[in-house]
Amino acid sequence: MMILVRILGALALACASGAAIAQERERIVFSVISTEQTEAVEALWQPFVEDMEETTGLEVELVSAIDYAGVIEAMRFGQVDVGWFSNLSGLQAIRLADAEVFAKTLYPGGQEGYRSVILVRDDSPIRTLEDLLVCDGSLSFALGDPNSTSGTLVPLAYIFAPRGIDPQSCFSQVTNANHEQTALAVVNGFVDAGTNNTTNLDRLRQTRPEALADLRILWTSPLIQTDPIVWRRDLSEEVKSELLSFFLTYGFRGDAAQREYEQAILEDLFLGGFLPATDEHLLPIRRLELMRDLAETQASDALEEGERATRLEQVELAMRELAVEERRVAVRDLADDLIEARGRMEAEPDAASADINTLVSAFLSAQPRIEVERRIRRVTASELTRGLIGLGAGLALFTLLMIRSRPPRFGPSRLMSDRLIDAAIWSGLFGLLIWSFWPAEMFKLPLLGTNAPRMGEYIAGFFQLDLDGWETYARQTLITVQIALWGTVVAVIAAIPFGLLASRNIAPVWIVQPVRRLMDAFRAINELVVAAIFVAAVGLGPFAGVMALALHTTGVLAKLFSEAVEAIDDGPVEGVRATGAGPMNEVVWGVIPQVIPLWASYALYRFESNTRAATILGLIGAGGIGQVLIQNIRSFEYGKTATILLIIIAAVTAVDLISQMLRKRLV
Amino acid sequence: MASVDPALSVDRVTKTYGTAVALSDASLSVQPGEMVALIGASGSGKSTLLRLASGLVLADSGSGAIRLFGEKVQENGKLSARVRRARAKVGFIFQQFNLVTRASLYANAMLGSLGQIAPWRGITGSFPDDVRKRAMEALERVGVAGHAGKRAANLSGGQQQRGAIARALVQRAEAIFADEPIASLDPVSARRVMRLLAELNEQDGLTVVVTLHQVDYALKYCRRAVALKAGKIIYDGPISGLTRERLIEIYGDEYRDVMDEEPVRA
Repeated sequence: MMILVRILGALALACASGAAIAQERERIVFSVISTEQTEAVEALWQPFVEDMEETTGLEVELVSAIDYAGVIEAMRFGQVDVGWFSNLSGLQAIRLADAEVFAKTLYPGGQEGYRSVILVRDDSPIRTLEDLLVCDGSLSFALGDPNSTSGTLVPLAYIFAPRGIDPQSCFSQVTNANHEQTALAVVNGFVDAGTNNTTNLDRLRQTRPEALADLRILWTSPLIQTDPIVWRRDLSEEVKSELLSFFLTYGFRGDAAQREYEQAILEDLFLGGFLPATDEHLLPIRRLELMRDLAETQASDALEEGERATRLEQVELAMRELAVEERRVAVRDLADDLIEARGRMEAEPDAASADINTLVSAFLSAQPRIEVERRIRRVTASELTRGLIGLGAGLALFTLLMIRSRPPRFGPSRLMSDRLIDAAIWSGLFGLLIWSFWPAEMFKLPLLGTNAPRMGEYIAGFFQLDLDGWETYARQTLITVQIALWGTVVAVIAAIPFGLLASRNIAPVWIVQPVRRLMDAFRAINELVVAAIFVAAVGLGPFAGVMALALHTTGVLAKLFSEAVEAIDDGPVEGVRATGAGPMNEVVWGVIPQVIPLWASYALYRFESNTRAATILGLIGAGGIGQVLIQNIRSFEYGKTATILLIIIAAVTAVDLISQMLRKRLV
Repeated sequence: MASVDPALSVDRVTKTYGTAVALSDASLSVQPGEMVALIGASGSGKSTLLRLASGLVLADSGSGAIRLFGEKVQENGKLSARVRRARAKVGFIFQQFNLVTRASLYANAMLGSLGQIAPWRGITGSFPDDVRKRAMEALERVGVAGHAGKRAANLSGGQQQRGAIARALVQRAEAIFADEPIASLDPVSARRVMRLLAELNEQDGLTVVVTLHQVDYALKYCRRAVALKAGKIIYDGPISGLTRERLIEIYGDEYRDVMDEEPVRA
């Protein structure tokens, strides 16, 4: 006992002294997005972060995540201080995490943005936007992820919303996918047209030039601003000014050698430096967002007309407010432009005054339209029809089953209630399957056969293994397995008491029911959501992943554990009880030995599935191989993706073999 | 005071399962040192009576008290707060042995001490040394010390049942309640278990209450018989009182044919 106390004391001291050291330099966390970039994101940013530490005198921790939600939550709870965001996520960070824009990135050539495009196949009969927007339900269309600026928001705001067109009713089918999938869907003819952006096309040009050759750009959007750099408002003024001067001078300071060095780092990051910015940087994205809200409100089937009108009014109000801000910016820009133009006029008195006229008329025509189109929509009949077809099919089978099970002339007859219940179960299942046939698109099943060569083509890309960096992948996979291991063990420890309390033969009903519902909740909530909650407390990284897995797995294991407990033989429990043992000993000796083999088997099985689930958690920056995998898929790196998949398969196989051995030993 | 407390006293106890009456207004008293056979046809309520006595099932409300050596087990359909103390005084032997099958016979014998040692010792499996010593002695006495290290699941029925008796010995029980202890055993094992119970009764003065299907075993090993029929005690007296007519009354008319085919030898 004394030894334990001493160890704890020593640990506490060590922690305290560690904290003291950390306080000597102020520490900030810098988050970067790693969408559509290579797996080496952190390695690429490392020299930049080192320079940042050296210049600002701050201790800078770098975190990278694919999904913004996690970073924004982390920022909200002070786990991230400065971040490179996309426009849309930057806007959410400002709203949710009390952040503000202080700089924006530039592309390597110094451009201030990129463009959204719509792609068709080169041999497509669609020549103009009007060809695409015939809206007779004959064409199919691919949008980007619902939150993607270039893939979804810009096309909605610039093409569909102004024309009052709802993509869902205009096209036979609208899919949502990432840029890579969209491009390939167009190349392979699965959709007639799809959205994309210029940055992504540049990347595709390098990785799959042959795919690009089959594509034609139908439409190009106005410039979409570059990404904002955002900090938390409550950073101290000293920290803010250190950061600002670092970002604005980086790549353009010191002697030629230093500039060359810093420019090389920026180039690796696909950046051309930074310019100062304010929240006004996000005005265009706010307009896009409102346009999207408008389109969604108009298109939504779920809204009552009254509710729809209220929402439209809200959107309209927000647009008015936005217009005031936009005008303020536009006026300031116009003033600057006019001063510049007048200056030129004075320098060259003969120059045409057209410049000034153009500026003013452009300003006037750019004033945004605010009126909102109010369209009435009716619920489509097809859903009702499908429901009726499903119901009809179910009833038909029900009748058939009842006739088939009528009392035989010879032999025993079955109870009427048994016949009814059996017929209801099977016909109900049949009806549900019919009803779900169209929403699940099961009618596409034959495509698997006819389009098999295309799948082969896609898969062939994976056979050009790119073994570079497999050590990194193996290390990341190991981290994933380690996350899964701890997640499972924590879950097992929690699931033992919960599982027992959820067993009807152990606990009274007023405990069993609440515990079961709690476990249902644990199971029902997606690991990604749970991970985002834990990010708020523990920051981005593997530990949030461990806790997310643990919570979800607790829900699963507690249910399985309790089912095992409910199936035990009461004999040994009575045997122990009859000796005068207390309830804890009844459980320890009467229950646990009976269920241990099953419990161990369930726990090991969950360990295997958690190894797989842990790869998904890379999405919210929980580390491990999942993050690397998704980055590679998004950047079309088939060879590397294949290598990663092989390593994951090897790891899962190894875990499976080991757990099989353990199971044999334990049972 | 304690010396005059009966080993078992049952006072006007009724037990129904739904509408089926398992035991009807039964009263019984067993004095320390007795060896009593509970007999009756299947479903007559003899097992229910024994299980009620250990508080493994609860009587209907309105029933009187059940006491073991003066300690109350239950009354009016509610377990007494001192039920564990009462249970600790009586070792219970089951037809299906009810050992912890994944634990060794040795560990099973030690479980007999759970009513006497601190709960944490049982939970962590750190039994005191004297329990460990008693467990080996008990296994020695019932003749299965050679199998002490084996899992109960890997032993024969007779060996498991003797392990269960060893558990009762480690418990330092003053009485043993045995519910059909030999119904699942072969004749040799059955004889061995019954002799062991009789020996514990004679040499150690343990009270033994045993439910039996086999009337010949009852006649051979017990001195007092309690017979039940349809939940009612219809005979309570010396074993010699189980005359041919009495047995026919207990088991029904068809028992006449049974006795004519295989005469019962005392």
